[in-house]
Amino acid sequence: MLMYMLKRIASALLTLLAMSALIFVMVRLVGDPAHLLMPPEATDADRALFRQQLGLSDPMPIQYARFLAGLVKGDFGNSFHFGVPALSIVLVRLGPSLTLTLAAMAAALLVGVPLGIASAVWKGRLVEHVMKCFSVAGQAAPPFFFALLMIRFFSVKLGWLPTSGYGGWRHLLLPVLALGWYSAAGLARLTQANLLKVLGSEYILVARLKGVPERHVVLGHALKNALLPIVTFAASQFGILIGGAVSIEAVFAWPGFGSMMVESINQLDFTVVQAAVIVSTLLFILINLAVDVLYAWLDPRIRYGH
Amino acid sequence: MRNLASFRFATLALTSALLLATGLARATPQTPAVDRDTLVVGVEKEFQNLDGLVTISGDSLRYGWQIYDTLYGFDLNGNLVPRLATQVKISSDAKTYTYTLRQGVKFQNGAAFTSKDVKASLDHILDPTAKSTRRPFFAPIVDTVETPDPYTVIFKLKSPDGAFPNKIAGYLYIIPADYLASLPNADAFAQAPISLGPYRVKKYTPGGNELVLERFDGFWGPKPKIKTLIFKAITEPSSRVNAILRGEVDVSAVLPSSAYEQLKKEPGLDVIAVPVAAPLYIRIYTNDPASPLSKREVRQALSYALDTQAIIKGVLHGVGEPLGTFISKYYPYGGDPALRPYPYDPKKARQLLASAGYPNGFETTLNVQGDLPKELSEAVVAYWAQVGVKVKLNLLSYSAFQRLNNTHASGPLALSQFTNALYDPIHPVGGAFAKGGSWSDYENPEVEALLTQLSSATGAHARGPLFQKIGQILHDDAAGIFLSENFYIYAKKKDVLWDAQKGSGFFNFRTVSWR
Repeated sequence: MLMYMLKRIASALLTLLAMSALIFVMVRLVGDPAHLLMPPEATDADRALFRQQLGLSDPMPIQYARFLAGLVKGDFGNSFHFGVPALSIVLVRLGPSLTLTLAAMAAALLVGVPLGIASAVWKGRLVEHVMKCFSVAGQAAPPFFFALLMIRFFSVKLGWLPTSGYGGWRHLLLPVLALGWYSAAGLARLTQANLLKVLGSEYILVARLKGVPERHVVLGHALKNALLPIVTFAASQFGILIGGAVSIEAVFAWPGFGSMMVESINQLDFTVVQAAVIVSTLLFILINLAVDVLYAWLDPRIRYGH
Repeated sequence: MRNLASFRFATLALTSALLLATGLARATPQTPAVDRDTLVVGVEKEFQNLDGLVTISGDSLRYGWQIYDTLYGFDLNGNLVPRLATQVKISSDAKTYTYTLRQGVKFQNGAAFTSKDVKASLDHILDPTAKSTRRPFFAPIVDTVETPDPYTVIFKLKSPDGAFPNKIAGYLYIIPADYLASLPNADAFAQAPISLGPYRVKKYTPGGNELVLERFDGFWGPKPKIKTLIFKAITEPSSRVNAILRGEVDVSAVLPSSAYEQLKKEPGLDVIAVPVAAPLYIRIYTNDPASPLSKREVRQALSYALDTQAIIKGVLHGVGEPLGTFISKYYPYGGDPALRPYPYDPKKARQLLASAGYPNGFETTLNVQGDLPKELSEAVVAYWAQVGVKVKLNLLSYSAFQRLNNTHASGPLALSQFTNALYDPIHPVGGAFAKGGSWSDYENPEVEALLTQLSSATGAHARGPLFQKIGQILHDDAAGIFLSENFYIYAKKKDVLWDAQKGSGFFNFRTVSWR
């Protein structure tokens, strides 16, 4: 197991290194901050001086070496725009994003999985129709579309909830609904499909023949085996939502990670983009680790370290 | 089949939800979002850097005039008015500017304001480690700054600059010398900026989307009527509309023109369209003799081929105004309201193209600055196609466009917009239509002669007529394709007493109050 953990850590570090190199080069291909930030009146000499102050005039390998040296100390450099450490900008945005994503995922799991189970057990009955309707609606329209409709209805017309902003649970409700619905839709269908497949397998038949109560058959025997793909799906959704809920963050003026990333790319704030990508890579690595641990717990046949 | 049925049911449910949503009417709350001591403003961009001497105008124009003060400033229409200085003496060669400072003025940290602060402020701009985007405006022209006594500052310039007073008013925010010297580095000022404006920073987190200012009771001028000014960044335009409809903000800024008519119907709101003197226009690379665009007749033909009235009505939802030349009439001087725009006359356009040697039109490319409505460029392309000019549309992101634009590579046609920070037309004209201008690919000896006169002409009376002449030449020569005046749309609650700043994108909340 120790060997396995060491391998995991080594591969994580390699991933980080590769990502850091990739983003370092890519972000520099997007544009030149000296053109975006300096006024048109600036001369070439002005721009050169500006680049030099930002450390952009050295050859790229030297810039990268300096970046790596900083990275080891946890120093991502200062944001070109804010003049404060890039990491602090990223961390300010990570909190609200985690809140939103965790709440949306929790809601999606609480609604999507039971709905999927119910529609597998009572296939062809009303509950399945409700589930299908729920998931078609959830996946057919992009979340921001629902978001705008819900804001119009619940906030502007009825005045029940704030239209946008970051604050208490009332601010959280609509964005969670908009994001969570999308994920719940996928979860419900996936749960149903997997459960149906497992319920048709021989060991379930055996269990039923043995006289195991149906509730136990479904929740105890079948569900645990049907959960593997669901865990994978939920984990990937989680990762996607943290950085990819850009439209929802924009519509709700939610100070999240995704919108910050887009903004810093548009503003050519290289250091912030680099810090954001590294932090989100790290998050993905952690999520994957958590998923692997869950796998081993769910399916005893999976053993790591061999 | 079942899926299809579910889908139908889903669409039905959605449609009914929509109908229900639009059917229920609820009046916009007119009470303050917080209280009568507080104003909440929804703005279109997040705050990046609070050092108004360093960051670009596109960032600082929201908070700049609230937190900072300048030697001279601009009134609501952009006329120069004395602020921290009481008068300015200008030498006849427009090379020496002597400002007499107001006495007894205190900074937000209690320090007394003197001439050394003015010098320190300019030095902060010139300091390369501060990475100021203002540096290019001052570094090439300022020779020395002298402070013979605490209340006199003399700027000596390397060459005459008639627009220098506007640069002082637009760019030189005054900050305290001793405080600046006490900071560990130039970047640190942005975290806790101090100046002499009517509000000071109360709460700001770099990377956050809210900026809270509070009234500075030691402000030398008329004190603000409200105690707290809150800027909330709501980047999505429709969300800024929703926020004012729900009453969560008291003023909502830079709203989409598509919402203009709807908002005007709201009984509790005032909707204001404010001219920003930033013409929406197509710049033409005229210097390439091989290009059809180097011919005046062709450029005039392209002007006649556009129904700008219809474009404004259809694309900009009526929030626009045709314009005759590059110099907006909303500048305090230099614009010419009498100058008529090119009328829509496709027949004449075809004639001109034919006589220029292009009876069947020609092919060209239009590069578009990414933050402008896509439909605008599409409409232009469609109109030009009617007279045989085929245009390849190249929609670029804002930063990609700037890079091309600043390196003279956005041609042969570039659709763009430029908001001035100076209230003097030299800023855009010098950049776009002067020999060697930052983006200019246009050269006209008559314009050059007038620009030379302008370099030493000071004051609105002297500069205005010269710029009007330039405006006329640019019109006659069809130096660019002038589409529309640009407007910012604001919505405010009826009880908010506020006049928006005209003729630039700057926010001015110095005199806002509740009824």
